[in-house]
Amino acid sequence: MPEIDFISSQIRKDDDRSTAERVRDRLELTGYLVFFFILFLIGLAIKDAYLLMGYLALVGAGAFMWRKLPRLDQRFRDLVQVHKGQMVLVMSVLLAVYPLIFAHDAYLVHLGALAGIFVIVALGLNITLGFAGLLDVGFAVYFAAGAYTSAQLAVIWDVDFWVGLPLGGLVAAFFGFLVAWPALRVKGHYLAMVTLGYGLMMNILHRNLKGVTNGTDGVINIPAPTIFGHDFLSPITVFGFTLPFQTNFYYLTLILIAITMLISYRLLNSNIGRRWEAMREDDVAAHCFGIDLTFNKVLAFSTGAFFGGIGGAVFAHMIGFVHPDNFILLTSITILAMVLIGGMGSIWGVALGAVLLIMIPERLRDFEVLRMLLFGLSMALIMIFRPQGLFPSQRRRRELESARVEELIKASGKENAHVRPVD
Amino acid sequence: MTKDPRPSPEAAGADQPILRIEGVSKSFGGIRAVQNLNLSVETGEVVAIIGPNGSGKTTFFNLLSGLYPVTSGSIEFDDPPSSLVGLPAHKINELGIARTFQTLRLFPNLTVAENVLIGMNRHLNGGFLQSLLRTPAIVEDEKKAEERATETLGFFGPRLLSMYNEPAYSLSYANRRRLEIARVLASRPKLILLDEPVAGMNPTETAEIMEDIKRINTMGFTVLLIEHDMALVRGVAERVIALDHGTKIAEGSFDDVCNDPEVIEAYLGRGAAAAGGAAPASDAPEARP
Amino acid sequence: MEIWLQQLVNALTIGGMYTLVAVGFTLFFGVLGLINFAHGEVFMFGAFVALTVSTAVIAAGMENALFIIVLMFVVSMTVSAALGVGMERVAFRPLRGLPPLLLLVTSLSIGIVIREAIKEFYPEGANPLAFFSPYSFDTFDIGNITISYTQAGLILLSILLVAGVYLLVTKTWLGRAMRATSEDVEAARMMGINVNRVIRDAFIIGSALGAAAGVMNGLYYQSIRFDMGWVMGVKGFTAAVIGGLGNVYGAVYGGYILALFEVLVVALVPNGSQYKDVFVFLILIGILVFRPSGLLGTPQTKVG
Repeated sequence: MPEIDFISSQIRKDDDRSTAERVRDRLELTGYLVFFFILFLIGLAIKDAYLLMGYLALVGAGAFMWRKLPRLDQRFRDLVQVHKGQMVLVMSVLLAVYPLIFAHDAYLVHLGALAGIFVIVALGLNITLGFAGLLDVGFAVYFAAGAYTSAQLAVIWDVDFWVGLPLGGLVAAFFGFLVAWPALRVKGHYLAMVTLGYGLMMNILHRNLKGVTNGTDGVINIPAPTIFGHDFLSPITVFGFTLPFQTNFYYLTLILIAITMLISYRLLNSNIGRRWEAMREDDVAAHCFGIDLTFNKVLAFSTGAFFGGIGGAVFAHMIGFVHPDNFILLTSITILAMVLIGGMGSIWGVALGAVLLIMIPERLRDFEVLRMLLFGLSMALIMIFRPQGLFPSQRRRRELESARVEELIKASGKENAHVRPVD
Repeated sequence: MTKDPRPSPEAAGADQPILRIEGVSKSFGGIRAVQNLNLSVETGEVVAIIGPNGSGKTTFFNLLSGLYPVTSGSIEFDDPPSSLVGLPAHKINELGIARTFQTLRLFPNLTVAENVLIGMNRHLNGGFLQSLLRTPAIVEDEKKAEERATETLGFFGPRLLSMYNEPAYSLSYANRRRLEIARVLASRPKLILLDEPVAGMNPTETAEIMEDIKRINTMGFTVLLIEHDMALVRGVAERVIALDHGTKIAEGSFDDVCNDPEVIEAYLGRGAAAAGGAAPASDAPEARP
Repeated sequence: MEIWLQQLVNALTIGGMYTLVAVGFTLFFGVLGLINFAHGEVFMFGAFVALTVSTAVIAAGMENALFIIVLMFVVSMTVSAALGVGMERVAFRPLRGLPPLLLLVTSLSIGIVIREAIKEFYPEGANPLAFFSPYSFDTFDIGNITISYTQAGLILLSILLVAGVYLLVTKTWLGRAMRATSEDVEAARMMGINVNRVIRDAFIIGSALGAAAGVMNGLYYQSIRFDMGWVMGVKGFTAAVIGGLGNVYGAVYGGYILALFEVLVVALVPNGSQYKDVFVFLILIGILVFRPSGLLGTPQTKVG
């Protein structure tokens, strides 16, 4: 039997290598991550919108250069691949100290928490879309379901946030379950349209079903969570630092993100994830190898929706106010954009996509009028020039390569196409 | 016209055929793709279905594997018998039938190993909660599954093993066909359905696949295959069934079927039948290396 | 009875616009497998071009209203066709053959760009703008129903345009090429059809018709807004789906069916106007799921 090359790169499995080498790799990886994090912090610290635009352009150019250095790029990828644990550790520490760095700036901490909420939501869509390949252009429905459920439970029945949070997730999962049934029969564009129609329809209902959602008045005065008697609206003190109350929400989202990532990772690397992927690749073949399409599609929709709902519930209690305008089509598109820009199926990529899509537009508030224009423009540009997303998973890159290969094969037939010219 | 299927000598232990099909018909709108088909397969047999294009062979496989619902008739599988009529494809696979596809249907962006692991799906448990908790049982299961996957890929020597972690789309055409077979083997089914396993392959590759099918059979698998390549059919099939216009027109040994006037007529038309040529055999490429 | 007839006339007017937009959706989907969500914005863009034309021409001292309207249509359709072609060239061509989602999101993004550009850069673009519509208050009666000249003209014009498209698709070489491309791009290419040209022409026709619908919309409601494209996009798409996406014949009746349906919902369902769109979306989902080849289309089975 031939030698099987399990990791086709310079870095072998960890146990083949000396301790010194491993330590050096880990340090190197830590260096990269800290460097990227500092770049990110600098971006956040720039207050002037024009200066920020310039900075973004600079970082963009740097990223482009980075891509032109395949060895550096590959080295980083290999490091991440081999030292996953180290990466998780470093990222956790960096993200945990974020509120300490911006202790003087409550707005940035708030922004961090808001981004965190959308990371959870985007990771939810990543399960449905990235893993199982089911397009869902109405993800705001689940975000809304979670937000309204948890908010109304707290406002009307005085239900505690810690009960409302999972309930919000479950109600959202139910809404995912609902759309899964019609979605079983359609694919591709049609599936996108069914979910888009579902999203638009639900938003009209949010506005008009006043008994459930208070209509356009919205749900107001949603209480903030408390934990062990500590109110989330009071500041916390750590090591003598006084941190703004938004830090409470920030850490809450951080913990929830960790849980969501762990669940995503475990699902992906299990039978469940493999079944989803098989279904995404070829549902007829998957069906013939014992994969119950109905069950697995419903499961993918519901699981994704659950995290949408969790994000919604936290959102409701953090903002304290829920309005149908929060759940319009643009919300769905933005969530979708987070997944696409991040790179479908890539857990860290999607998380980064969500952070960028929340933070950059917020920091460009000075451009108020042009914000949406820039959003649309950059989305279109990214789709055209980097359709696999900014941080694709390895597998996703392959998928696009294969599509490209197919295209190339087709295009090679083009010479023959003009044997008999039309004009 | 249709003879009773003779129990094959290899299936000595089996009292009952593993697959019993009676009066199966399938119509699409007004078109009757399969008509009143009777067929049985003994455990351990290799049975080939031949017939001109459009004679209903692939439709028949789609009925067997649950992709199309049967219009009428009964399909019974295994002992104790379970009816396959009305079952969805995944249930049929769980009972122990696995198939390949004439038009390749691999999972192109999954690795070779993952394709085979999906083939094993019916043997892998591990529900939602166990996967989330990553119980030791699941971890153990996965490890075993990967070992089996490697073992299964080893059936084709280094051809697939060397591509273990490569995506399926990067395989050559012949290797894709091999991977389809490996995926079926991984399923360890009681009945293997091969839909034109050598379509598009060159003579050398065809001969190789022929040996592979023989090996599969000696490993104890029961095989039902559709094939146009008469050299392959002659080489592997213990029994041949000829279809035309969705009905069975002949059944028996390769030579019997090939000399059956109806079969010759189906392939070459009325005149040829009168001339009495051994039609389908002449169809075969010169396959022997 | 009169009310119903009056409603029927309204349905015909709106249905004509839906149909014109639907033709675009169906053409793009046919030749490119693309649901072009920027198409609704092309409709809106067309209306704004026409408004610019009327404003400019009136400022230049032109008084012949009929001439102005004709000019509005011609310029608007031409400019919008150029926009459509540009969109295809810049955004959709590079993405051909990639997963449908990417095209969908790209078209949504381009839609946002067009909408926001009008909102920010058109003078007073964020507010509803009055549209030049000289004949809206001149009416005539047939029996007991009152019809404005605008309405009559619009119904007539939409029927003419739709008939023109129908003839184009059924009788001309281009139409045959388009239908061939919809069936099978590769086969069409092998038969010597310049697929790029067919796609370009589809964008010219579709966008021009969308813009015509935009101008008609302005003439009918006498006011336009930067965000009117989105709703029309969804309605036009639904109309195309009713007729069977990719089926040009279907789009012709899909718009009228949708308009009639809306009128009926408003008339028969309590609070109908509030929930009108909910029903539209239910129809959309229902048809996509249960009759994907359209309300009157023949279902096709594709398995294996």
